[in-house]
Amino acid sequence: MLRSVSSKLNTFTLKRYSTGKTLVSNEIQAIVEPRKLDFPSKYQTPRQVWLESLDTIDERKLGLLELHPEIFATNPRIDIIHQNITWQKLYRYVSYAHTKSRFEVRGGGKKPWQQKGLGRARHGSIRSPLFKGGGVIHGPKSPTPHFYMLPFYSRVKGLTSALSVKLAQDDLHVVDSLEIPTEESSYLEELVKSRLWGPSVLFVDSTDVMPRNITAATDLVRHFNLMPVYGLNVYSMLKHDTLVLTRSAVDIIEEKILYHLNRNDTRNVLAKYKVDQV
Amino acid sequence: MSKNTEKALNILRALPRVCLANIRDNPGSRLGPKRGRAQHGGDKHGAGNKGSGQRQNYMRLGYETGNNPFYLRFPQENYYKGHHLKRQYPPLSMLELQKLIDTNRIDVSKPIDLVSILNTGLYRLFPDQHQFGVNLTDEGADIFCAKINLEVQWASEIVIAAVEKAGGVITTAYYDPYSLQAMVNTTKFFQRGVPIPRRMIPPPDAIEYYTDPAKRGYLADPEKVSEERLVLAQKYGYNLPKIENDSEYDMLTERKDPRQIFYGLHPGWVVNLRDKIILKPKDEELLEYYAS
Amino acid sequence: MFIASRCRAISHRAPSLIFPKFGQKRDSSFQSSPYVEDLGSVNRSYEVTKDTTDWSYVQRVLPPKVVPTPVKKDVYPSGWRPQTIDIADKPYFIKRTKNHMIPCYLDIGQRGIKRTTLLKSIQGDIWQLEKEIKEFLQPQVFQILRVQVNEFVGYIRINGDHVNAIKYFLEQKGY
Repeated sequence: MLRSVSSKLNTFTLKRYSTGKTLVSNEIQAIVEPRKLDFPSKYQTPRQVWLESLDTIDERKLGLLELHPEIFATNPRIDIIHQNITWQKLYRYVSYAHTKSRFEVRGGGKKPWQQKGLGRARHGSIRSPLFKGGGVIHGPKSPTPHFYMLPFYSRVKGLTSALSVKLAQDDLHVVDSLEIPTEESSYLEELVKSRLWGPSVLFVDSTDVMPRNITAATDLVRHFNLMPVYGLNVYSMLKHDTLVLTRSAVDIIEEKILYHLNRNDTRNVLAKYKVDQV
Repeated sequence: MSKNTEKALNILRALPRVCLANIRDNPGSRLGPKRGRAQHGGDKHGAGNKGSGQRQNYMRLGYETGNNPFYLRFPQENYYKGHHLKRQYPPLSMLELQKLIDTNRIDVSKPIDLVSILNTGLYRLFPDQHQFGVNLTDEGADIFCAKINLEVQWASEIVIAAVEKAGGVITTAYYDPYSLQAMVNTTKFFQRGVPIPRRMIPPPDAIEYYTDPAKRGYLADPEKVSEERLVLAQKYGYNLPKIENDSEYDMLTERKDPRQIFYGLHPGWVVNLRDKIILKPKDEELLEYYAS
Repeated sequence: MFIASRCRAISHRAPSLIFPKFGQKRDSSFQSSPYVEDLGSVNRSYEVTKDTTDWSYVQRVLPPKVVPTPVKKDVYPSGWRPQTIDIADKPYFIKRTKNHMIPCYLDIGQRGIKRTTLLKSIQGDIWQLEKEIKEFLQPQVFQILRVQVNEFVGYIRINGDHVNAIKYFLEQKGY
């Protein structure tokens, strides 16, 4: 994970997070409202991110937004991210592999030869595991579910770690909304290419009804995907190279995660997950 | 500040993009499946030689090879007689209560009852396991200093003295199991859409406790309760604070009706949380029933 | 639905079952209380109120969604102290839990024999904190202290039960 990076550290200039000045005019600054952070952190400074727009292909910065450090600048726990991804893959996986045991293989009800007198080994059934064509012991049985629940706060930590990783590696962008001028998917492809966003992009909005143009543009392009904020998950965040959040989506993510980090009734979520729970 | 996190995030900026292909769990955190093979794990797989151990044909648990086993020797023991009928009052110490007050989990400006203690989430009650409420213990009675209107289910003399010395008021009240189920999870109860029930009177063996002014029972005569307050003050040697002159007199004397479960909400009402309305019955029969 | 009600009519019900006239009737068994279909249409007059005073009582009864923030006071009789440290020039920082408590825990293992003290949520120069804890704790304790530091995650593990000592040490510093 964190292998020897000393050689890389010498060649790269590491950018430190700093409170840079806004490069926009005073007029535009007035339009972009500063974000208020609930449960402000005492020891970590908020992260700042440019509020961009998808109106034009060229980048247009609308202002600076502050992001809560407890969500967007936590310890990047790669092991917890890995646990989340394994959980996402496995919990709904059902294995349909099936092998027949000695009782399921056709035949083998009769004792093949008498117990004594023949000089042969004693057997009770021709389908015992010792026999060729006999049943399998301890083989897979269909259907086998692999359902399990990762602890609640491991899942919360997975989300915050993934968001922190994305922001740290410059793969997180915040836009005002997902409105684009045309339905053409070439517009988005050019936009993504010119801004050096990764080949695959995940657009996250607060609602599940997206603007018409972007829905049409991303429909046939399989590496551009739209997602409502309630569907945000660690696997999707890592699968797509770039994560684009709308401002309202950022508000909802912060509100929900901060609620979970400060809630009064953690007993309800820490208790063992019952399949029939409400 | 927070050098570890900053360091890690800055190192990530120089590393390749974290994706599904280059992450793993911490080494040594997961044990692979153990196969019973080779010299020390295999052969007889820890089952030994012959006998019931290897043949998985064990004797039943408790069997003592023929003689009368221990679990059958004694038909009953007097010490547990009636244990399934006894009421239980899980303890809450005065120190814990003071800590809840200090950390602002409980609002001291309003009367404190079982519902407000349960709503902190730090005291749990299970009415279906014969638990009937809070037993306030005397651990921390010497450091207790908060002027509160407290309602518990069981309190000893020292506890009562400690609360009254601090200028507060304490009452002991009984709640039946059905009311307790409503109080333990009020949100869930209101979502059921069932009218708030009447609180039942205590069972015969508890009536004596809850009508006793020395125990500050909610069914006791208030005048006798004031007498007992004086008695305790003299016994433990403190000046009994005058509540009448207190600015929070109204709050300290706020009491529930013996048939009431929640402060301010009458039995018979149905609370609709989603629309934020309360449905109150208008029928004479219903009003008579719930008022009785 | 029809078949189900037919079956119930045959089942063992109290023959003299008079439907309760009003309110709730708490019956001793499931079978002795009538089914909702058999009650027919029940018309009870009720009024709907949006009274704010009544609703304030309802809100009093509902639990808070988020842990309440402590109020600043002069004295805390229970011994709990809020975090008073000013982070400006401190080498390390220990974040309080969401319940505003110091994150120092006792781990008990091996069927009650082994006791370990765990101090979590440490930010900043963890080695400095480890040094200070050792200097504070070792003179008071007979056993040799073995300390494990996990710099990345931010915790310190010490053998033995020193939870109260470490909490006192941190409270003195204002954490």
